[in-house]
Amino acid sequence: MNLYLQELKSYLKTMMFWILGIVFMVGAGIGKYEALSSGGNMDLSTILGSMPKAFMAIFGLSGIPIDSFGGFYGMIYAYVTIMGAVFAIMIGSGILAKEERDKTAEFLMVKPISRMKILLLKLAAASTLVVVFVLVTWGTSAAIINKVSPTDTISNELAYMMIAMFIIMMFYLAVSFFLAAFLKDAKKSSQLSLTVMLTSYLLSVIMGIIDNTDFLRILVPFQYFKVIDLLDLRLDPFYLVFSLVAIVVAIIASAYFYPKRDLMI
Amino acid sequence: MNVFRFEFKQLFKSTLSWSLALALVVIIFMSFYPVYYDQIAIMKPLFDNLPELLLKSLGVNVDTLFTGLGFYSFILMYVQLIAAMQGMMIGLGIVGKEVRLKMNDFILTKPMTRSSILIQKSLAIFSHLLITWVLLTILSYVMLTTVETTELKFNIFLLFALSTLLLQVMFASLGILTAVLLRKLKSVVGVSMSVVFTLFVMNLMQAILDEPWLRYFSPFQWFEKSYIFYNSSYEWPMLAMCALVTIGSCVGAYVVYTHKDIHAV
Repeated sequence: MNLYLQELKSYLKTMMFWILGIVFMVGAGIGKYEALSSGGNMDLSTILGSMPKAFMAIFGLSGIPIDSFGGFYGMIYAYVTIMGAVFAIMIGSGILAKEERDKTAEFLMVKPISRMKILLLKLAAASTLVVVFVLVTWGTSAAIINKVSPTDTISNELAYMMIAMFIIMMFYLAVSFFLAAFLKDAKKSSQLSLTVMLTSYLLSVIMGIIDNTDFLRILVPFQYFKVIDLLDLRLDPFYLVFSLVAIVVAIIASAYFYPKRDLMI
Repeated sequence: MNVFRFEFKQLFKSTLSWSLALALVVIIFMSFYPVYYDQIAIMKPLFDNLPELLLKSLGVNVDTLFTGLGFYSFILMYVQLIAAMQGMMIGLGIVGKEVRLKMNDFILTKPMTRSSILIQKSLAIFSHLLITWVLLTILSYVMLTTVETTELKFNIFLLFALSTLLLQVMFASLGILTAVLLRKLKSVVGVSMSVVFTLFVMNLMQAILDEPWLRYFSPFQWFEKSYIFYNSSYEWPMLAMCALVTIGSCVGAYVVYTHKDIHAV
């Protein structure tokens, strides 16, 4: 448990900055809804709704119905999810690899805990940070929505979006955690995680611009749970199962490879 | 010139992979242009009938929607995301290398001044950015001339291309400044990813926020595509902002690096 607490403590400062960022994003985003809806003549949804699909994709908004408050929040959800993926990858590729990078691996390994336990405790700490990220987003959103527009109750939609965001973040966390556990070179594993992130993001953009690209969807976690489904209180069952299986497989593979591999001292 | 030669040689592999990544993005996205054009061509008569003033107020230019160059200006955002990531990562990586690998005593005991070390490193970084940019620009030009059905407006293309270089150099300078400011540098990927993606998502969020003052802090918006299309020039205040940040970071890095206490281990 010492290790778990130590990890949480070492990420405290990072977490603080991220919390500030989330609060700013959510606050500024939802706060804008008030100005737009009370403005009356400047109706955002009509302007944005009249744009071609490819045009919307440029803002990363394809497939989001912006004519309701839920849909409006869906845009903010989409933006926060991108940052969430960045956060998850940063934690996932760092938490395990940093011992070797900072030359503290020997210090840790001579402690009377097994490598398996180290791995699991670090994974638990990383998951806790992801949970904190999601809960902060959830709490801030609920509070600000309640303040800005108490008549629109979208707490169920919000819950579905937060669950989707949690799964997507865990997906990226598990993948980058696995890469760090499997590869010896911390630099290489973090670069690979970055590549995974950039590739999946750019593919999601392509899917937004071009029709009939659904075959790519399996490669793009950002597209697993479409905002339009989440607003219908639905999580796509196939992708739900697929992402959960992928997360579990990545964790099992990390637990299989990490205790065996040579450490870079 | 030993430091320059050494770093220049070290960077080749990284430049190769970044150029490859950029080339892939340009080739894949541009090859979707015919499909995109088919989807959007039905909109053309509609847009032709809209009054010029309305289009201008929406920030839409018929040229931007229905030409290859316009499509290129859409994808430029993603090209610039990757180019910015490259700039930040090699700026941070090359200048922060000694801190990261705890080798400061090695390089600082060599018979050369700190300013010469920093200048040589910066030169190596900037020359590699230039190499990547030249490759990217040639490839973009070739791709554009193949898909473009009407005549290519070369001066506008050049302005787009040049804005990528300016952003690359700006992010590299930011990386260099960060590297000399941080007492310990943990993960190059982690820091670069958080900074670049935060600014990128800020740019996306402008779709709802639409705050004019925020543009000054959002580098991906400094070179507004529709403005360049309409006026065949950059916006002077934004260009000044870019120059200010770039030069400020370089000078700041120089002053800090030549004066700061550096710990041997």
